[in-house]
Amino acid sequence: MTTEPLNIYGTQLDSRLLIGSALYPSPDVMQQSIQASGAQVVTLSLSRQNPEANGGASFWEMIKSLGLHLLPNTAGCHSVTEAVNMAKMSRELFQTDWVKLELVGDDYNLQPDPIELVKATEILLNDGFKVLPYCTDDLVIARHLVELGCEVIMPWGSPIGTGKGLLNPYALQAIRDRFPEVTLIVDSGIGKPSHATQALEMGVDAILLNTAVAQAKNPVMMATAFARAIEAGRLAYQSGLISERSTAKPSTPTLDKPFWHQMNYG
Amino acid sequence: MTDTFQILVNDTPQQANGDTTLADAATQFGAQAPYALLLNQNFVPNSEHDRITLNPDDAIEVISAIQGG
Repeated sequence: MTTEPLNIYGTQLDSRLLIGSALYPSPDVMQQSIQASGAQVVTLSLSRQNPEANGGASFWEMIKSLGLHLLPNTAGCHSVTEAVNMAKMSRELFQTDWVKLELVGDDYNLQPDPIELVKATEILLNDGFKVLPYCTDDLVIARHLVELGCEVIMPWGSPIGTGKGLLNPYALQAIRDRFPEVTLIVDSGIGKPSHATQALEMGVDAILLNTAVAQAKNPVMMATAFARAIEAGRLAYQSGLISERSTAKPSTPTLDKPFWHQMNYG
Repeated sequence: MTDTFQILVNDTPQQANGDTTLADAATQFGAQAPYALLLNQNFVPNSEHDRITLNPDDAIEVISAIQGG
């Protein structure tokens, strides 16, 4: 049983789960959960340093010790200038040209600003970054991002932290079908393992999540649940799902059945 | 020795003079490596920290890693 690797700008990964490092009840639980998830990519962010709190050094040492690919985000940025500056700081600190580009357009639901996102994406791609843009599920915005050169796009399933799952499967399917060559990652809104399975069954390549694991009663166990759900979804997609029918069709052969002459209800 | 003036590091007032570099200001603040610096909202690469001297009312931000989703 084999599954194709996940491709992120030429880097081949076995796991299709990318996991966040925030909101865990403790650093130890964070570490154990990330390991249980099997994720090979972990997201992190930047903040003003407080020297009295050890400058964040302990977190940084723990993350480094995991030996995973780092995906810095630009969470909290509201403008192109802020996002570009944050990306450059991340590249210097974390020694990676990957960036999860987040540009908040509205604080009410943390919806990405599609216009500023496209502008920032262009600047960062031209500066050598490998941009993983967090976007809405708008097909046209996705097209702009792909045309700029994004090899990965990350539409939301639903707003960050809501756990509502895939609010618009049609829109995600449209992006999948329109851009089969792009690595498609659903980022945000995943609340249950079944949401992740649904996305992978549709042909979504991977899931990026944080809250659903970190805020579970047992984050380590939930990380395992997501890993299995994502593997199941991918296997199902590769296996080829049957088409839906509007009427019943017997699964048991009816020919030569005793009582076959009776009314056959299927 | 030049006149002293005030700068801000992570919104905390700090004294500097015309010879004070970005690296000096970060050290005086107590910044712990690894960190990145913004000067007046603009990223300054690490290779420039020793070269750039400060001006009155400059605002520096010392940035480091935190958890993120």
